[in-house]
Amino acid sequence: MKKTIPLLIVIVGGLIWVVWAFSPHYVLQEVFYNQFYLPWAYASASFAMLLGVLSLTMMHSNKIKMRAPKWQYSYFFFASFVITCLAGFIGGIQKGGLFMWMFENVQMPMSATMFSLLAFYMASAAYKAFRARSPEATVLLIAAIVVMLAQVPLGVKLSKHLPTISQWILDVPNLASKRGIMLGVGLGSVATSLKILLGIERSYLGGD
Amino acid sequence: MRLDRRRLILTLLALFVLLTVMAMTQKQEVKDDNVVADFQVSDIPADDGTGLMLSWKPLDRSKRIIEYRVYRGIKPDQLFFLESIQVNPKSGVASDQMFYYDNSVSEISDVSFAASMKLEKGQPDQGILYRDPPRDLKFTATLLEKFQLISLAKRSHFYHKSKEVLEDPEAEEVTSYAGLKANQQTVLGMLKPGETYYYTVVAVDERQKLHPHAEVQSGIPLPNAPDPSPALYSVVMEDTGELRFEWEYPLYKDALAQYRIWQMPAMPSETWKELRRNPEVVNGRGKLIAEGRVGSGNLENYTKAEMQGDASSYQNAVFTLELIDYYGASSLSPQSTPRFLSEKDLPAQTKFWVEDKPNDKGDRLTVGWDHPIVFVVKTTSLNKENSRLRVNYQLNKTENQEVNDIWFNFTDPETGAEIAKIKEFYLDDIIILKLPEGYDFKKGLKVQITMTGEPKIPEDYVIEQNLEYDPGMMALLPSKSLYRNDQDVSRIYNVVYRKYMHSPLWRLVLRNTSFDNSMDVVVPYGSQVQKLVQGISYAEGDSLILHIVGPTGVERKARKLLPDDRRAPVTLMSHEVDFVWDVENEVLVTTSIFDKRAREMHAKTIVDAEAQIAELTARKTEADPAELDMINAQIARHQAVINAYTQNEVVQQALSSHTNRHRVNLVLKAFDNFNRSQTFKVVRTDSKGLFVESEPEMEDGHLVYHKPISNWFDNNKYVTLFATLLFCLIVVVFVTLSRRGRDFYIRPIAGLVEIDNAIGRATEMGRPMLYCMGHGSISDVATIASMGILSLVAKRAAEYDTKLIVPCYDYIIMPIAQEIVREAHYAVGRPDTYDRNNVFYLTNVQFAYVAGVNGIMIRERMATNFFLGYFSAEALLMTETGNAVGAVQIAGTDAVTQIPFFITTCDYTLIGEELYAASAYLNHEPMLLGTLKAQDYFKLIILTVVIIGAVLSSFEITGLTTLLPEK
Repeated sequence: MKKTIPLLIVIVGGLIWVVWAFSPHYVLQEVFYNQFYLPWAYASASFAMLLGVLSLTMMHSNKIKMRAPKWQYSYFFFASFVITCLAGFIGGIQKGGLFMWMFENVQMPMSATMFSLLAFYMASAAYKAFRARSPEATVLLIAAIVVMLAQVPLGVKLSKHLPTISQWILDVPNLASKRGIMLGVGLGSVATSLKILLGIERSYLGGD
Repeated sequence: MRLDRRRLILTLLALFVLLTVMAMTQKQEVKDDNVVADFQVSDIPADDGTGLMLSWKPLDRSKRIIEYRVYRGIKPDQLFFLESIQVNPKSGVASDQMFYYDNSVSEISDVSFAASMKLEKGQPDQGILYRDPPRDLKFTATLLEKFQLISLAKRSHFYHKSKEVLEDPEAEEVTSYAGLKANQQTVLGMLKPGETYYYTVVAVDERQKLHPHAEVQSGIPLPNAPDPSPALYSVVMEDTGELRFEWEYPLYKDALAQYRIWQMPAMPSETWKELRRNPEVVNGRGKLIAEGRVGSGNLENYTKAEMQGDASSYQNAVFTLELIDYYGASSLSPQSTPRFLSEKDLPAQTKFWVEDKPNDKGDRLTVGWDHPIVFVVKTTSLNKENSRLRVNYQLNKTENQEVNDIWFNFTDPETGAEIAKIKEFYLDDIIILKLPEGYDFKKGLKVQITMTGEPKIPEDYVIEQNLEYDPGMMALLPSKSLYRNDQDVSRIYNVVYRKYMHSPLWRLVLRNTSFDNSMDVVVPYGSQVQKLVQGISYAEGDSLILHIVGPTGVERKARKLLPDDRRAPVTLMSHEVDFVWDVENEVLVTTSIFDKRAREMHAKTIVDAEAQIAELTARKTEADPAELDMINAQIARHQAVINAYTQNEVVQQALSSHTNRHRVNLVLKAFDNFNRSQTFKVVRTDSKGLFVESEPEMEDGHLVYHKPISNWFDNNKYVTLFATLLFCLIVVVFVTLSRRGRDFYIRPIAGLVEIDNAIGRATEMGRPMLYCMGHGSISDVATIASMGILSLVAKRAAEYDTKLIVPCYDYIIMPIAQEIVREAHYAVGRPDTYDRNNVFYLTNVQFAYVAGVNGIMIRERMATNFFLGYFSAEALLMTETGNAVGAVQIAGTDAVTQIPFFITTCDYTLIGEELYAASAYLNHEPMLLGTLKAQDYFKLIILTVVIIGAVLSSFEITGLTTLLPEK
């Protein structure tokens, strides 16, 4: 029963969405989707967020209680959580308030810093990928050099055909393999959805 | 002079005072600088007296203003937020003046407004600026005198939740209202002519700081004479003896009620100018030719009249159009001298049809009047020599029209020699044109377009365009003319009008150019009810207070509160609603939303009609023949009303309803039925008086009304449905085979084989494992597939007593992941080792999540990392860190852009669909293996279809390609 009811909910819910995808009828598109589903989805999502906040609070309070490694940092979580909440609730989230100031001057620069690290990581990953250890890796290396050179003025200086070759690599072998993967992904996602819908795939429920 | 201590103190004090005064002055200056200057309120000219115009000088862009907020009130010391005008703080406002027109409805009370009055941010206690007006109908009652209030409520609220309010229950003839609470509606307000309103404007800077408001100004909206029509066009049809008129409306046309066309005698220009200034005297000067209704500029803008005498008598005639508003004020258009034309000059009559828009929810109809239309939009040169051109074309057709092939025949405009003939068999809106060597592309081209399709397109249907060289664009562009069977139709318009069942008036839908062959008409479902607010009532002690809007103003009444009365403040509106259109008798039946009142209304209408018939019958004996006809017509009209109310099936059904809810539902259904039905006509015109109306759609002597149909199935998805069913069938076949013991070969997937080893490594090292599901939501298939793998990994981890950390990106996924890990621990008999704090929500900010996960990886010194799910830019940041801490990493994603990064930095990678297959592969369950095999065979089918499609397309057979859905 513990598994059957959730499974039934998934199957019935899934079937409703299958019908919804094929039918443009007013009852499904307007009454079900806009008037019923969307308001309920918005309403229930906020409760799930509460769960997330509770989980994070429990984890950090446990860390402090157990004196887990680097437990002192958990105080930063509570401090920033409380300050952000107070800033938002009291001052509002509009531009000019403390909340938005913190977002623009603390969170955004930190996110940008993390993102900018990507450039260095990419260089490191490229170094690893382009080592000509095997014939396949050599092909990859040559293709990468052609494509990269074609992006800079030096490449065009070297050969006027380089941009054409680069574009061909991107448009033909690259696109073909990408489409191959995408086709598999598309079909795989349909198959997975079907397995869930028919109750064949149940691992997301835990247990079997 | 010695600077002793005393002098020093005095000097410093003086300096301090001086600096303070300077600072204060400067601050004052700064403060004054931030106040909006030249703020003025004035009446909008040429309107119906419900609008005021606000103007002010915007602040300098150095002030970084992001918006100007307009406040309005009926008292100078209490102004409420009305609207905000956003400006770009970087560029500022280019013009010297900003304008705001308060001439439409604005929200007076809404469910989103606070229940009590709230001062605007930064206002002192005695401040005059408030946020929105309070959602308090007692307060709204004070505005009844000053605003025309309209209630906008959801249909279900008005029809089912309105409560009846009686003005005086003991009166012989009770006056009843439908009452709605503040949270059941939005109350909108419009300015009333002659009332005084107060306004101010506040600039708000980038820091959301409200600068001081401009000086409060007042204004009184007044009804003015309407703007004259910019142009009247007149045509004398010499052979048919008709006068035809067509006109344009001025910008403000909402208040226009009527038109009159006058034939004016010859007069000096000064006299004409004087007459235009006093249009009311035109009646004695001109000869009335035609008159009719304008309906705020939404009705027909053309008319015909019989000629008085022959065409030559109009040789020196001039006409003018008088537009009259609802207040009786009028204006005269410039004089129009007629063109003398004949019937052959008229555009061809439009033969139109109406069809239901397929595959929709039933809120659109298509009005079509022509074969599909194809025209060239632009051309682009593809080489330096301009000998290869990309020609973009547009095909306009209805959804029920099919075009199979289009032929483009390009010719030399000078010699007429054919340059190229291109057959477009796959309609992708682009063709490539190769010009012959040596052809001077600046000469231009002439293109003739023909096509085949269903319903059959005549062979002689040819569209022609001239492509001319544009030096500015350095390209061949189509000229303005569009020839359809040798006739230039670029200046011919097809104007669509519609008529509802219960109204005799034709209303304008849209004016279409000849580049369109159809238009979609939206017929929305009724979801809201709009009613005029006739008053507001609320309980005060044991009395019910009613503010009723009467002809002389708002009257305050009080009566004893009865047990059934609603204590809460409610707006009072008419409870009468339209019910059904009786087609046979052509009568609109009205009813009430309250059962008792509905029955009273029904009985009263019949009694009144019978009384009228009796009175008219009595008058018949003394009437002359002309009057007799009129009386008979009136009697017939009253009899029709009686018949409609007593014989209409739906009306009788409603009367016999047992519950009011059932009756109201019947009323709504019947109302939708006639209100969503409409008939159309298409007028083809040159906009200058040469117009031809289409024949109305008739059946058995009645106009044909159309109502859109809500479709249960999207016809474009037959192939998708078939493919889905086929796939299901293949799955069922392979699952059955698998259950019967057939052993299917599944190729080894290294990433999955190594999962056990990776877990074993973590166990041996005594270090934890990290499982990351990416930033997909629960609706992503990759996330669901990842959950399946998490279940297996968690089981192994529980078995080996290895710590598994699962930081979640999505708070909806977190409880599911916790449940999966908990179930895994229970399944292997180790519930004691389950720690829910190891599966936690981290954040749903992408790079904050990366920082968090990387921190955990470094602190906990992970032995094994799993990255399975949907990933974006964060993938490489996490896997490189994992690589640096020396963890074994297994990754898998369906995000094509991230696969290369995983391959580079992880030990094993599941590419695309391998992620979905993981659960089946690891479980070795026959049912799951069956679906995997089915997937492979279905891929084979797709590959076959792709190859067949490619081969057929190469032979210009596009049936298969067009059969498959594009998205």
